[in-house]
Amino acid sequence: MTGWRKIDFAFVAPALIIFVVFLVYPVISSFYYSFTDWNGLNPTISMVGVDNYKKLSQDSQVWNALWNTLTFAFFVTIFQNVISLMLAVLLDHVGRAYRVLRVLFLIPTLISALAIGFIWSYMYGPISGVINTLLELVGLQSWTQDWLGDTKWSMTSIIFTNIWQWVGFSLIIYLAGLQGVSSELKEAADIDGAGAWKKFVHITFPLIAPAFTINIIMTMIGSLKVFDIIYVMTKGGPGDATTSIAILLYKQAFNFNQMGYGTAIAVVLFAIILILSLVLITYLRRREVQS
Amino acid sequence: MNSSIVNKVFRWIFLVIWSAIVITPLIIVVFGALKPSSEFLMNPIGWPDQVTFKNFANAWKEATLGLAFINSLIVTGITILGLVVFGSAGAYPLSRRVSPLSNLLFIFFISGIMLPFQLAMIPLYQLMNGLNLTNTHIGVILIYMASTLPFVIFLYTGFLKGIPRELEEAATIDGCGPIRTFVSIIFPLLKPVTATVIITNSLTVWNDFLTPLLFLQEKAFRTIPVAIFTFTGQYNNDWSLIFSSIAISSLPLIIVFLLLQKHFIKGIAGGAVKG
Amino acid sequence: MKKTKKFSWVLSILVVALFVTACGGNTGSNSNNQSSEGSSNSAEKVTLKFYHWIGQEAGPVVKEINDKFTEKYPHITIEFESAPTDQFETVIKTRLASGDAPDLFGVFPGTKKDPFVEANYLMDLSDQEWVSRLYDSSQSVASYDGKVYALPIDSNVLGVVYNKQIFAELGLEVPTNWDEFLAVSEKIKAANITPIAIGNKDLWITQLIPYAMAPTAIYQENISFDEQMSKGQATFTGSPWKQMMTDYLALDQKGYFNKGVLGTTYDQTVQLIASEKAAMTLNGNWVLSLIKQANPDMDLGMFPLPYNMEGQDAWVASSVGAMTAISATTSHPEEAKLYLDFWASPEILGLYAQERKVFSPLDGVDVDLDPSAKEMEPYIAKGSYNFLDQKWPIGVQDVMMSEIQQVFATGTEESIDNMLAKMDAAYTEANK
Repeated sequence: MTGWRKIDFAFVAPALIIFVVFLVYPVISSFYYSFTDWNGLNPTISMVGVDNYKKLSQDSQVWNALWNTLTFAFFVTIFQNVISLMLAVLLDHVGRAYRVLRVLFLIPTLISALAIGFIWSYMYGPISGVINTLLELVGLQSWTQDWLGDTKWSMTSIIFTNIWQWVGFSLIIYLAGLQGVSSELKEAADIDGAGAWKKFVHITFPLIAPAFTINIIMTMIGSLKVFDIIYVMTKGGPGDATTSIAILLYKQAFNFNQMGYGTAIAVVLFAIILILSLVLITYLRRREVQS
Repeated sequence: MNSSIVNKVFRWIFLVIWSAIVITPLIIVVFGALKPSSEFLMNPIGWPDQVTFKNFANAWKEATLGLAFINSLIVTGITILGLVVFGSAGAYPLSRRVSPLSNLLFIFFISGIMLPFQLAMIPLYQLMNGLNLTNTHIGVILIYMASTLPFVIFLYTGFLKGIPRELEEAATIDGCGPIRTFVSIIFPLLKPVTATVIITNSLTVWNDFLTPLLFLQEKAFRTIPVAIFTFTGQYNNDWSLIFSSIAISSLPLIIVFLLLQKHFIKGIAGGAVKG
Repeated sequence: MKKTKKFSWVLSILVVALFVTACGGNTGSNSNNQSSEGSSNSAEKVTLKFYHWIGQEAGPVVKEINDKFTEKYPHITIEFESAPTDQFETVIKTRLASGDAPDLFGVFPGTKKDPFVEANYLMDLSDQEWVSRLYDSSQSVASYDGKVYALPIDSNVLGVVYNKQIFAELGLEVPTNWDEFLAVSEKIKAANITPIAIGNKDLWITQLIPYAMAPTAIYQENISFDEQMSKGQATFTGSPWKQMMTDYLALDQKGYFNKGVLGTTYDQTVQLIASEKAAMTLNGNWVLSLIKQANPDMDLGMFPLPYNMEGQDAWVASSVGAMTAISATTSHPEEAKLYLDFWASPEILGLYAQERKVFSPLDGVDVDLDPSAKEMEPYIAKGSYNFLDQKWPIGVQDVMMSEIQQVFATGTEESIDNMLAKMDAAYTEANK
């Protein structure tokens, strides 16, 4: 039962080969550029050792982007999982209405980033935006804000839109996890008179531990890498209020022609994600085993 | 009982609120698709003054959406097929063989999820160019598979753990070899995960923009997101055409999702617990 | 067993599919890698790959031009591909760095093209006939070290686009100096109309007002300001920039801009103008067609931003927006040059400028301009300067745009000083 048989290697081989050739190799090659001052264009490249790394440790823009990224990841991971888990439990029933709702909540993930940026600029628009108009309609004029233009609110607004877009994704994974919980178990809890909450905490939640692990890890990693949603909504602005690490490294590499520096930032981002994920995965897998 | 009614009410309120939050922006897309371009900027989010279906036809023609559809279908379809086959196969030993090698390979694959793609573009382009794979479907398919296999393996490994080993032991006693065991016994039990893999990855691949922009530039090979972007200009964008393209291109995925639903919900899945 | 059979089916389909796509798709890229040997004099068929960002707005007219070209030179076909402006730079840089250059491709005017020249990706075109027909300002942004590396294909101008009817109703005259401009805005504000619609959520909009102010405030007196900066003899700090930014910010603080300037997009400002909720906006001539499409009955005019004192002239910001270059490594240099030559002819460039509603960067081309845009012509003749980023080293523009948003977010004098200091730092860093 333990130890790899020859056939096992055959099972893993295709995936491993494709993964290494088309992802690992290009990315590792690109890490090489972090030790250069390459501008992304010129065929001649010169090495600068760890200069880029020294520079970024003192660069206030990097620290600012790091703070923004961690804030974003924290809130998105928590809220997206809470909401999608609640929705999964609520929608885990047979019936046409449920079927429609499950697909409905997935549709935001289908909309291209370009349209998301446009639509939500109008939702959040300061003058005749949908949200402000609705607030005015119910007499809550004083609550209207410049949701994207005001640095107090810009990050929160983007976090909300991100959750809006991706809840469906996490929802699907939780639903799949819930299928493993046999209906008998769930019914048994009902007969015993257990309240919905107790039933959830003691029975359902432990049994969907694998789905929980997957979702937490995916949302955390995805939000640490966040680029698209911020790019289309504010491009990192106003100023650098919503600039994440990925946005910063992209701008450095392509707008400032600092491919070497940008790559160094990417390596640091990868290291951060790797460490956080390993810690989290170990902790979560232990929980899984206990359940 | 009182508390269960209160419970039910709370549930439905939550569902209704979230549905409203989800729907509102989507309605804007639909309204936008039904407006003539000239009306768009004056009335960007309201019900169209003049409902027109012409945008769909125009978008279809100008962005050659028909061709883009086929390209998107080929790329997404084959990628998904590859992911399901190679991903589940790859995850199998990782979840079954308890050994340092399994852990190592698992972590190796998972670290792939964490890699930022933007910077790998240049070496990747050089690689693809060297292999003569630019402007080919297979090139893009391989890139997608490489970047999504980590997640797929993560999913499959997670769910494989929930399948009891007794099943394999029983199969071996029955005289099934490892491949047959996997194919006939284990894989069918992974239906909910496979359905999940299909849905989540079709989302990411169908809508991905940067990879086809770089590697499938020729008009004949364009996928839908790139075709939609032909409506963005240096200063001015044609929003009605963009929105109608989005509406058209979302349709097949929505249909697929509706159809796949029965694999996930109650009754059919049953799960390994029943044995 | 049934299920094994099903699985082998699936596996075989997968293998076949991979095989088919691998073989089928290759024909496209094969033609990519074939280099045509032999002299380019022979009438052998040549395909030129042309990659630019002008596809959305100019798609039909580019196609028309390409068709006309093939009519004239039947042995040459043009394969035109386009990408959105934002992503274009990323893609072209990736392709060039990987050795996969198209024969002809778009380049941005000014210093943005310099890294391409320094990396030897662009062909020297100084000996081409059309170079002598370029306006001086157009030629300067297409040149590096005195040599011309691209053909400018359009020219645009910044100005205040205004609603003539609102002006008439309020009895307002076109302002000819800054005080008059402020007075006009005050009157419009009093009538409960937004005087100036500005969309500073979009980074590229933030730069327009400073670009419109600078020619009058700086370059009119001192046209060598940029040369001085590049030699380290001048900086943003301590120059008229501080006054420009203070006046720019003041427009918002006086309530002349729409509320929530940082949350408003370019499209939303077009909506404000078209729905007559705002009377003016500062933008380029490209905005005219968009406004008119939204509200065809509007009577629009355009005047230069009068950032001058009474009695002074207002200079105008006018610049090339797009250029086309030839790859230094193309296997069809003669054919590519023919193409640019064709494009630069008065007839063809006139056609392009007409369709795009832009000015011509070449002399001797007749363009029947949009009447509102035409109003700017006499001012361009009086004095103009490029959009500033075209003379700056790479990165300064990005810092400026982001800092302008920061200034509007905080609204303090200190933030303006900060902005100029950061721009200077970026300038020095990139200028090394």
